[in-house]
Amino acid sequence: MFYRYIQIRYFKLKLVTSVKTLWILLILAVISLASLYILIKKKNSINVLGSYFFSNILVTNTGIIINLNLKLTKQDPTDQFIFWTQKIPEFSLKPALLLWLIYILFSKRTIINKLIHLFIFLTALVSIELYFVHIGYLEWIKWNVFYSYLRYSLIILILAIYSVYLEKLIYRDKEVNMT
Amino acid sequence: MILPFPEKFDANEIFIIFSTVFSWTLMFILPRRISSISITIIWTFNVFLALVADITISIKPYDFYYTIDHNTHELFDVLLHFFTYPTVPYFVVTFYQYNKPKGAKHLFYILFCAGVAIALEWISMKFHVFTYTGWKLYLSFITYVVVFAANIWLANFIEKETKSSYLDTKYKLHHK
Repeated sequence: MFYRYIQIRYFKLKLVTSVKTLWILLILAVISLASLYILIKKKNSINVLGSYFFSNILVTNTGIIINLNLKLTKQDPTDQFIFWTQKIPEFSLKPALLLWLIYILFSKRTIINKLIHLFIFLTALVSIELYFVHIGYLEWIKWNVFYSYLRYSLIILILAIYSVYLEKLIYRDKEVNMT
Repeated sequence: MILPFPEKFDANEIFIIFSTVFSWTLMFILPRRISSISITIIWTFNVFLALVADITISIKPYDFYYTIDHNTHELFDVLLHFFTYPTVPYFVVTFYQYNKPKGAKHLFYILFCAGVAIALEWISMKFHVFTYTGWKLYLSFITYVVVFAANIWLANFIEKETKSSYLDTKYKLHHK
C-alpha cells in the first residue's frame, strides 16, 4: 500500500516537472524568437535568416552524429513528450543564442568583452543539455561538459565563417545592383 | 564511425550519385536567374528542411520512413541533404523567376512542380532511396506544395530585401 502511494507520488512529481519544463522551454522559445526580431533590426535580415537555418543544420547534424552514430549519448526513443521537449530549444533557444553570439563577436567590443560573452553564451548552450541530463531526458554515456563546450565552439566557428561569407555575398550583390 | 559508409554499394547509392551528377550538370548548363545570395539562402533553407524532416518523422518515436540502408545518419544521407535535395527547389525557383506566374498560374505552377517532385520521389523509392514504413506518397505531395510555396516566397523576400537595401544605400549616398 505504502509502496503504491510512493509510486503515485513519484509519478505525479515527474508529471509536474515535465509540464513545468515544457512551459519554461516554451516561454524561452517565445523570448528567443522575439529577440531574433530585434536582431533583424540590428543586422541584415537575410544574414539572420540564413544563419538561423545554418545554425540549426549544425546543431542537428552534430546532435545526430553524437547520439545516433557514435552513441555517446542516449535518450528514450519511444517517448514523444521527451522528444518534442528537446526539440523546442533546438529550434529556438539554441539558434538564438548562437546568432546573438555571432553578432557580439563581430561588433566593436573589446577582445576581453567578447571573450566574456563567448564564455557566458557557451555556458548557456551547454547548460541546456545539462538540464536535460539532470531531469533524465538525456543520458551522457561517453560524453561530458568539456566535449559539449568543444561541440558548440566548433559550431560557433563554422557559423561565423558562414555569416562572413553571407555578408560578403550581400555586399557583392549590392555592388552589382549599384553599378 | 562518424558517418558510416553504405552497408553495400547497390542501386540506391548509384541512383543518388547519378541524380546528383545529373542535376548539378543541369544547374551549370541552364542560365542562372537568381542571385548568389538567393541561391545560398535557398540552399541552406532546403538542407534545413530535409534535416528537420529526417530527424523528426524518420526516426523513433515516429519511424515513418527510412533513407538508404539503415536508420543511422550515413555518408550518403549527407550527400542527399547537402547536394541532391536542394537542387529541386533551386530549379523550382529558377523557372519561377523566368516567367513569374501570377494568380491561378502561380498555384498551378506549384502544383505542377509538386507533381514532378512526387514522380522523382516515386522513382527514388523504386531504387530504395526511401523505404516507407507508415508514410504515404500523397503526404509528400502536400509537403512539396508547402515547401515550394515557401521557397518561392523566400526567393521573392530576398529579392525585395536586396533591392530595398540597395535603395537604402543609394538614398544614404545621395544625402551625404
